[in-house]
Amino acid sequence: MRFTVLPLVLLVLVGCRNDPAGPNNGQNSRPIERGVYVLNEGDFNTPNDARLSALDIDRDIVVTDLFESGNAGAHLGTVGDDMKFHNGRAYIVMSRSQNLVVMNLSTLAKEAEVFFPGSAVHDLLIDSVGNRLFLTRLFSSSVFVLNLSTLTVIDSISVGSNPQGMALANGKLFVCNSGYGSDKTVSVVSTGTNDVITTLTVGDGPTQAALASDGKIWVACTGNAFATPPTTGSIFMVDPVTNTKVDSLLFSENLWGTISIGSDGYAYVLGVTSGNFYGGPVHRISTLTKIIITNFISGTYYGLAFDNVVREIYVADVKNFSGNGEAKIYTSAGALRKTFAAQKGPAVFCFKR
Amino acid sequence: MGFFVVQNLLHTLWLTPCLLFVCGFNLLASEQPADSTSVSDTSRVYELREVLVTASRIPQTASLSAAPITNLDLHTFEQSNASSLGGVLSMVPGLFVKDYGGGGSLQTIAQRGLGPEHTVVLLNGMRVGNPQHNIVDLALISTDEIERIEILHGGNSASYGADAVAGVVNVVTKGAVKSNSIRAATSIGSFGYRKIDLSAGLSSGLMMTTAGYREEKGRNNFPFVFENGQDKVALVRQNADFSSRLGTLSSEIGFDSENSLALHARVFSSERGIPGAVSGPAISSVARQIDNDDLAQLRYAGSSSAAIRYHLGLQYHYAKYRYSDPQFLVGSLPLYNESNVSEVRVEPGVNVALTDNLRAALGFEFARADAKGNSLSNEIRRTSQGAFCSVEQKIIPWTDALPAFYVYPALRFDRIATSQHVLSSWSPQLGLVVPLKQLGAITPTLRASVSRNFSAPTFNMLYYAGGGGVGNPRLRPERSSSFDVGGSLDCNFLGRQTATLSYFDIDMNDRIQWVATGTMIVTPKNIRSVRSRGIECSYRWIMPEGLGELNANYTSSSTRKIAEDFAGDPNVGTQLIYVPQEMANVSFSSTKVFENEPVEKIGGAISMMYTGYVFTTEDNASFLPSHTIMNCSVFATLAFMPCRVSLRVEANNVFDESYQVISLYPMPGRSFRATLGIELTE
Repeated sequence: MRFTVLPLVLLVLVGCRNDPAGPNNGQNSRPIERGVYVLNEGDFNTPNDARLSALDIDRDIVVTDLFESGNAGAHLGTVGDDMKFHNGRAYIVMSRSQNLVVMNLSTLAKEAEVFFPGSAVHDLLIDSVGNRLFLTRLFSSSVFVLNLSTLTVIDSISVGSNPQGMALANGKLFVCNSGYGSDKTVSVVSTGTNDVITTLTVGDGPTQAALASDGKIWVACTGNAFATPPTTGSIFMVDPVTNTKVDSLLFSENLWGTISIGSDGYAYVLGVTSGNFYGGPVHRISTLTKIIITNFISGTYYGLAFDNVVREIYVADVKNFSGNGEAKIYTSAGALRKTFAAQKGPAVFCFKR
Repeated sequence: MGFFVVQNLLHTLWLTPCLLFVCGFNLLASEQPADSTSVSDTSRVYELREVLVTASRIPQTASLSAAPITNLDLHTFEQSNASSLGGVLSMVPGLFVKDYGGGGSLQTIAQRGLGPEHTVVLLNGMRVGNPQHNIVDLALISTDEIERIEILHGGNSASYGADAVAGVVNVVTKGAVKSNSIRAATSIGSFGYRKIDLSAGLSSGLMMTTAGYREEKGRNNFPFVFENGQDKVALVRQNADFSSRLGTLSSEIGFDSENSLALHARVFSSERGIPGAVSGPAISSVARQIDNDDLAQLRYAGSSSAAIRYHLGLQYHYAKYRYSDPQFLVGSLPLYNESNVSEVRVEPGVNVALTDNLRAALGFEFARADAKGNSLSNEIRRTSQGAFCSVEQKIIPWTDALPAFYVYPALRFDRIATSQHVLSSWSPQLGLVVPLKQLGAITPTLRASVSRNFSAPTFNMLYYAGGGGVGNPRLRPERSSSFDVGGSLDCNFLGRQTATLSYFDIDMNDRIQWVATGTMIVTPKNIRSVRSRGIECSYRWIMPEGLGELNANYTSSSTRKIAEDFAGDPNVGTQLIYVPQEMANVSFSSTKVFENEPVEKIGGAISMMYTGYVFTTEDNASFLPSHTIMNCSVFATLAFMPCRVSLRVEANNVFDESYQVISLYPMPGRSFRATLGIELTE
């Protein structure tokens, strides 16, 4: 009996299939002198899957796992949602691991990391004048105010549901309360007192805001496809001096919510592709005439940015999160100039010159 | 590969002395002369504890079932150390239990690569799945309640209707004890685990009644390691505490040998912290969940003649669910979800033996479920009607050269309706069992089954209106074709040995997937086609002289997406997430029974469970590594009649393996548990 049991156990334990090779945890790479950095959101259910990649303009190569290469394989966190550059540093926020990472852009080394237990921090905005950093708390209906030097939380501002994008103008912070379509307000906050001055009603699902060259805040609203009756996307223009709505544009379909103001006199927003799940085509709006050109760049894009130096449009295709995504560069005339590889879920672009 | 082999060999080196220890006292015991040793093994009858099962709703033994069946009994529970239904089912071939963190955390079943909503869970033959999501939380059903479990592998909508796509799990609860008795047991274990279990039985004439009460709780604050690249952060699981209370009442009245009435009622409540996903080293959750689950069953069985037996089952089931997360604000209010679901079922049926070779089962199922909750778009009432007919025809060929065989045709019609959604479905099935001629001590049997099955959209799929998603009332039922072929070998040699082998193939269309349709909004759609294929084999050896029992099984399966979810989908052909391609279990237990001694019984058990790697992303780029878990236990019963004292000591995850079953949900490391029980019997 003893001699029968043991081979059986061995057979079961040794006869099983090997695990696959582990994922690539980073490659050696030197910092990028000039290039476009891409924050790749990563898989929602894979821990530490957010990645930073970049297109090195000088070498014309794509470098992946930038953060890992500068930090002995350590990762950024889970679900990278926003990134801003300031004073030679990248500020990167991860909503699912609830942390903010500050990375030195010259050395790629992590300089600081702050955790926000219980807060799905989602979008960030840097107020260099006030030396503050604002972080929206996606499921806490509030905004954290941090001292930019110490990264300590100095205040929390109550706003509307599921706050996402922010814009700063005229000493005021404009917070988009998306409610994922169920809220329709923008909280106007005095950056001097951190008090909400007023709350503006805009279209369903205000998601991102940007300051246009005419001094107005442009707020992109997704609309709510599941409301009764459904509502479509819109853009509202807010005067940051009077805190009033001055104009609006209604789209015939929903918007994704991402907006970028170009130095070429146009605003660019992402629509929603019918039957697809992550974003949509690029629509272009003249900031002067408000004329809309829908499907200016066709496709399904999850991320959007405008390079104001060379006047090019960057879009990110996450390919339904079914593998690594890719990014494309279009000229201001809408012609495809370049396609380059990204990692899983490319979402945010930042430019380093 | 090298590391894997070394790792498992190390485990095996540990395993060997444990096995020898467990066997040891029995080997010594077997050296004592005993009358039975003079009888040859081939002529002795070994009790397989084979019970009547209802694969086709016609009572039959497992060996004559056209679909593969696994029977689990108290012996298997002893081997697994499991305290919940989920722990026991993880020992079954083809079943993968998705465990979200051990202790009182959510456990769901995934059979043959499909989802928890594709397996029907029955309690004493009647469906108990919550129609809101069609998921049974296996962590909420304690093994203390269970007498045995029958697992029917493969599609069986022809007998059980909607959702019997991957299989059926029938949990048979402990009935009323047949003597006047009082039992008390208490358990203590790692991570703050405590349990008390009290029961009393009363037997008077034709009536037997047993009432029980159980309280269980634990902090479940186990340590684990969070890995960030090369950094490893030692953390402790927080907000994972759980507590539950269960009251049960079982009563049986035997009017005569043919007519009986049985009542089973349970009142259950639990509260637990929801520690959530560990997606970073600083995650803190304060979410709480409270569940109430009350059920009452009344079953009548009778007969008008030897050829006709009829039965009637009545069931009322009420489930209340409350989930709150103060950290998650909806507007200015903390997230709070609540749902109340009640269901009434009436299931009459009759079994008829038309001739010696022809038996049939006819039955009906009527159910009405009502649900309301703040995550549903409106109050929902669903009515279901089902009618089925199953036949067992024994066919005796014209010549003795061919064996007699059994054919099992079955057909069922279901109609399921809500105010906005109606579906009707015919589900046919054909089974074949061929018991071949005995070859010496070996009795081979071949079987095959083919069926058409379906799964109904749940209330959430149709009417969800909570945060982050929207239901879709236009959903169609999921459809599948299922094919099984296999056989078994029964052998009376060196005890009783049984080996089974099955090949299965499930082709599923219109599978419902929740897909993103806008910023953080998901909705279900009938978009997926899946094919799941594989083999399941099992081996059971009941050794001679009561030396022990060995169970082993192995599953190899492939569950892949066979069509695009969307135009240009690059993941066609990839393995579905959280479906291990390999699983293996080995368990051994040995019990020595002493007659007329204060020590009535002493024994030990050891089990090892191997789960292959699982992909966690649809592009199969990320995965959770394989893991092997070993559990062991020793137990003894002392008898000082009329008092009986039992003691059991368990060690789980003996090698302290760090692993996850679901990504971001760490599992507990090594833990211990001890149980002391006292029983007074008249």
